Amino acid sequence: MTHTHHRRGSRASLQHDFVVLAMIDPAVKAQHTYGGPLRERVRQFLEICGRHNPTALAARTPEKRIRYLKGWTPTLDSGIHHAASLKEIMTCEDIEGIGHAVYTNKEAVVGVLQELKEADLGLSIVISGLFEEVFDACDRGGLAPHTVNMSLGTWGKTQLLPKSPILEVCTMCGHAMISPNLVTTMFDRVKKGVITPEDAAVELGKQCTCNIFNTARAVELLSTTTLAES
Amino acid sequence: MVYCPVNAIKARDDEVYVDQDLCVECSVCLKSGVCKQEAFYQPPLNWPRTLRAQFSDPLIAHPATGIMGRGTAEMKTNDVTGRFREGDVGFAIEMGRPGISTRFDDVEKVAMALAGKVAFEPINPVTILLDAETGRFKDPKVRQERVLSAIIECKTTEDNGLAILNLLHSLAEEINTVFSLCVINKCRGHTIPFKEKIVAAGFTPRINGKTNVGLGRPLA
Repeated sequence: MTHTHHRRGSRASLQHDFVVLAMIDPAVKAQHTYGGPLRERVRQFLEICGRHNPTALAARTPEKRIRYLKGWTPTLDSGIHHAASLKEIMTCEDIEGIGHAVYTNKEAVVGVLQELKEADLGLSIVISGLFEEVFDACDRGGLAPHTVNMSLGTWGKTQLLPKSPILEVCTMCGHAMISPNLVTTMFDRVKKGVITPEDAAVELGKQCTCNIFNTARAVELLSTTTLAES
Repeated sequence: MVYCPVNAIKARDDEVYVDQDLCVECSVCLKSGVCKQEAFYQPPLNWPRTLRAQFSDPLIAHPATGIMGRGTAEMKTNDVTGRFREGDVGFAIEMGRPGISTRFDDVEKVAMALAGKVAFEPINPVTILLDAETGRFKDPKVRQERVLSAIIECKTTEDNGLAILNLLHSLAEEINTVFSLCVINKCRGHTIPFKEKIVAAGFTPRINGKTNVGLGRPLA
């Protein structure tokens, strides 16, 4: 499950893309009981994340995933994809041991880390983003980086890959649920004025069922490329 | 048709159909609700085609790991598992990513080359299909299955890590797909010991990645 890894983009673009993941290890039972009931600790994690203006926030219940994406309203629901409000997630009682949040600025991540350190929830926390920014956020949050997962990029028949910025959008869903053809179509529709960049970003982000897609960054990419081509 | 990540939905004359060889059973088409006629359906899957859904649909938990997605907890819970200690290097070779897909015969090619040189992560959806000593699939019928991606996870020492990277570099020329490569290392303060070695050897890590910030408890 390296789904928040290998996000493509320029340094300038990635400066607005951070994913915060909370996880417990299935085999470490002591982590499941550390500091009280797990559900309460995950609920606190989601509350903390929700207070720092996430672009995306997601939690799991035994039956479903509850997903907030900035810009996604129920009028844009389709198939199994249903929008939730931040409040709905932050107050959910029936949650399991994992959650994600996406942010567009480092200050939010610093705030989240400071609060998480204070709360001492015992959950393993992983931040995806520019290493220099994440390490700085750790410093300011009173934490030290423990372990890193570096990307050495994509090897093999790379000529099969779609071009940037298609790839920059697609790789915001690490499970590849967002088809390059759908991204191309959305770029085209935005360019023709058939759809707004905001609605196009939501339509793309909905496909990422883990909900780690950054709609704000997608809007920027969709808008910039449209403008450049115009 | 544009919703399919692997171009498996085809048009022929007046007919639209799913190319069953290309389809990886990710269910993106079904989940999207894009077909107003509700014409998409997933037929019952039998072994080994069941692997397609397990490795392609992140809403399905893999029976070996109990984790939704295609991998394991790897470094994400390293603060409480100690899976990667100082001096260890972890590799996650995600075959088919991003979005190209892979057949398992390419996965086997890489696994066979690594067998005996690394320790495969035992609780991993690919490892349980393998004979860990040879890297071959226990059931050869697996080889022709196609999935969105499959992660070979393994571990070695920092001393052996560069040899593994060089091996992967040569294997990249022999496969019919792509792989995205993860390198895991425990930090010493802000220093990433193995990063210095790989940069000196001419490899270029990306500027972004994942950082476990050490908040998991109890610490390993």
